[in-house]
Amino acid sequence: MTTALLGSKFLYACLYIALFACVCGTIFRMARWFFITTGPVAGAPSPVRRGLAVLKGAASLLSLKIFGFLHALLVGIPFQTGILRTGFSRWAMHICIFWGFILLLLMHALDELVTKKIFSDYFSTLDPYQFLRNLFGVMVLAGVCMAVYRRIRHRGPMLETRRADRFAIALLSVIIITGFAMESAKMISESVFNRMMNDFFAGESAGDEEALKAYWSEEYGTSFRTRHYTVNPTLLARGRAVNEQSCASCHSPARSAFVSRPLAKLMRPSAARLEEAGADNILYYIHVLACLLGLAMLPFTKFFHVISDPIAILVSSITDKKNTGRFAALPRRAMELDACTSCGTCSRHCSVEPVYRMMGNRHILPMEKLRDVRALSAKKEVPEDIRSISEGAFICTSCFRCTEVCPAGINLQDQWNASRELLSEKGHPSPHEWIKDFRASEWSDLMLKHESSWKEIDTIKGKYYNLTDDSDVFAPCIQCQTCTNVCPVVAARTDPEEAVDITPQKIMNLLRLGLNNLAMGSRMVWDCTTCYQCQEHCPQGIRVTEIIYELKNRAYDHFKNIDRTLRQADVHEDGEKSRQTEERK
Amino acid sequence: MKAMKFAFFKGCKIPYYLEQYETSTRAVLKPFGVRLVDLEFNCCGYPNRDIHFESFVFSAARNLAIAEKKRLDILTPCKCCYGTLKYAQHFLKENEHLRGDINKELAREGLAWRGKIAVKHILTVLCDDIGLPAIYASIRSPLGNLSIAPHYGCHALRPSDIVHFDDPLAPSIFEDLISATGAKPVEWPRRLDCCGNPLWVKNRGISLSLMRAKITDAAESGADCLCTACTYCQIQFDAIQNAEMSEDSRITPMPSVLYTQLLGLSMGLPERVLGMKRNHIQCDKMPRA
Ligand code: SF4
Ligand code: SF4
Ligand code: SF4
Ligand code: SF4
Repeated sequence: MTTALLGSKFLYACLYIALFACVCGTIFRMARWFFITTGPVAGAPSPVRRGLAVLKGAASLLSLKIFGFLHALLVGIPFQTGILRTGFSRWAMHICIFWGFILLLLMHALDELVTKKIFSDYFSTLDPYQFLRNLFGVMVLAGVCMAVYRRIRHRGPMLETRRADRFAIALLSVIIITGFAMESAKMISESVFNRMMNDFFAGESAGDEEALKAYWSEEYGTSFRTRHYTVNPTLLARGRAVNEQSCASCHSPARSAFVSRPLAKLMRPSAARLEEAGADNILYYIHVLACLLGLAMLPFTKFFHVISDPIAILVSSITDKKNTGRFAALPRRAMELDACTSCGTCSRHCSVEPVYRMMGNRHILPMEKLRDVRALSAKKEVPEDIRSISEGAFICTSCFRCTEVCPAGINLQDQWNASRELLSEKGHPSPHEWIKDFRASEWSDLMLKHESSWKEIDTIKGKYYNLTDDSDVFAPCIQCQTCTNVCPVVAARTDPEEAVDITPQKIMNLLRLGLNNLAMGSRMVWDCTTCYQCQEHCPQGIRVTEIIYELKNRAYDHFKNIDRTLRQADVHEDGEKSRQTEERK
Repeated sequence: MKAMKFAFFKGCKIPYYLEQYETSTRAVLKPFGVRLVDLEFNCCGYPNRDIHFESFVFSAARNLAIAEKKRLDILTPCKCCYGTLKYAQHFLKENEHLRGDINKELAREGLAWRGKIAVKHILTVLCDDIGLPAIYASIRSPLGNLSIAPHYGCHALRPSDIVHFDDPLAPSIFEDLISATGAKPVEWPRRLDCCGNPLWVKNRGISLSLMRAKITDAAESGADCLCTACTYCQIQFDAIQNAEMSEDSRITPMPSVLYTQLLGLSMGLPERVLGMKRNHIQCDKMPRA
């Protein structure tokens, strides 16, 4: 490599700095995969163990798995079949950017290193290279336009545009647009023409130069400030002949630069000013610096997915979705956190997406869930909205569908299993667990004490049904105990403390006495298997199971707020902390 | 026989936890000319009913609306999905206010619930739509010698005024279908009880003791094997029993097969589609596929 590569010592130095930053950053990010712990912290293996497990996993390539691996490598990644499965338009967008950029990188940016080595006749202004450069540029630009369109058209929780996305789109646009503009600026530049003349042109007879200028001004759009000739067919014919002889071996006709040439036409009226400002040089600097900026920041921007995604896809091609090794799963999960591009595919196909629409908790959506996993693994302190995070984490049917559709091959199911374990460990388990923190009578007391935290919600209760507050529903109960007698849960209780707990028939009685609060936190309500035996057998036709469901729904709503208030008190009022913990016991 | 076509509602667990239920269902229905159409459904809504009524109804309604758009009745092999879809249908029919709100949300993606399609469980389709005579006629190798205890499953059977599956106190559809395979249906007192699975992640102790009571009862009644027609019941009796009770000396493992596996076996279908080997607890008396 020589400074000729970039034509400037400054840019050359920048290249080295950018490369250095990119390599160091990448090493740093990859090393983190072995240190970040997602999932339960207790008993988490050491980085060395994780590393060994990864090596062992890699060794499994020496089996039939190699075929899956090769398929991913030779088909899945280059043709982006994962994205194709999620929809054609998205695939078209991505493939344009992906191949457009890679080909520009190899053919154009690395021409000295790659193209020249393969095609000895390479010359950047010759076809097919000139044409291809335009073509690839257009591909990238078209992809970027599609991306912007999609992000505007489908904006919402399924496709959120964040800073990282904007930066990536902007940088790509700058690189490509300045590339085209620079090519155009060179075409119309008189000084570039003159430089070439001086270096390569030895006019044989007087007038050749004029003829060539006339020809170039017509064909390539070069703009000459002073003309000493009048354009006429003879002159042009002569110009063409001279061009043929002296230039054509290095310059293909301009029309193959099907973007730069029309652009040059547009720029021509301001050619003089551009010339004066040294536009081609400025554009060149912007173009190269933008590329180097992208390179330097690659490990810390969305562009990192060009490294992490292929890795994630390859890993998923050789691993079992259900049986993730205990040690190897950790670095894998950490790596996958870097592979998510926030494309939203998982959220769009999520089995509980309708639940999100009704409950409005974003943490239900897998894309958000994965962000939560990242937040939980990175921060020592507990995020503000940990209760919503936990609620979202446990609203999931473990259906594997998100894992199935993720184009990056992320094993989301394993992420969920781990994060639910972590949340339980941190004291934010599933509703059925944290409700056990208090007994029915304690919940009832707490409801009185924290009336304000749930009173408001209570105003919307009974929006559709109001079984637990409408005495017509349960008043006909004759306390015959049939419900209790047929209830398998009552029969199955072994714990003496549970055995004295409330029975279905007692629940009906509590409702009749207006003591709903006491029923809500009872074991009976939360341990009901929803078998409908009671409802089926009730001689009075009382909808016992549905009443129990409604009690659960309301209890959940109320307790959730009380629980949040208590925990906030836990965090904020240190002095009270011990008392609260006491209460919790 | 006229060709039947259904939207196939697999539910969330079959694809990754009970693949054999899907393959065996498809295989046994195929000879009867039943076509199963795959649509992208979401969760039936059951898992969320504990904490949020509207999201349960909306989840179910969305599924119903998706099938309705294609004018297909739903066939599901899972009794919890079946029950949940039926309950939601009932609430939507009964409650105008609810229906209005749900339809408003559905309309945002061009869907609507009009209550025009039926939800059917696979046992009903086999017994009523295909009919026992046709089933009998399809049997190639009757499973004599086998005593099978049918486990009915709660959400298909009750509440009977909503699901209309069979007589809630003295159902017979499962026994009839088992008899068709040549096996002997066992009378057992706990056949209508809950398997315990709904409490599996919520209260393990009770969940296991409900299962234990059933297993013991089936064994005492002389069953060689349980038979289920529900994703969750089968997971409970097979995978969970295997994982949790293999250490329990009070219990001898009681195998459990899916009805579609049993029927497929008697129809002479191959192991490849029946997936008997995927079951965790094998029944020694069961003939090989
Ligand atoms: S997890 Fe996968 S599907 Fe979901 S947003 Fe990230 S990359 Fe897309
Ligand atoms: S596994 Fe959970 S998060 Fe993923 S699609 Fe299924 S319900 Fe949604
Ligand atoms: S069976 Fe019906 S009437 Fe009898 S106690 Fe229970 S709810 Fe009341
Ligand atoms: S539905 Fe609940 S309360 Fe009723 S009998 Fe079954 S377990 Fe008992």
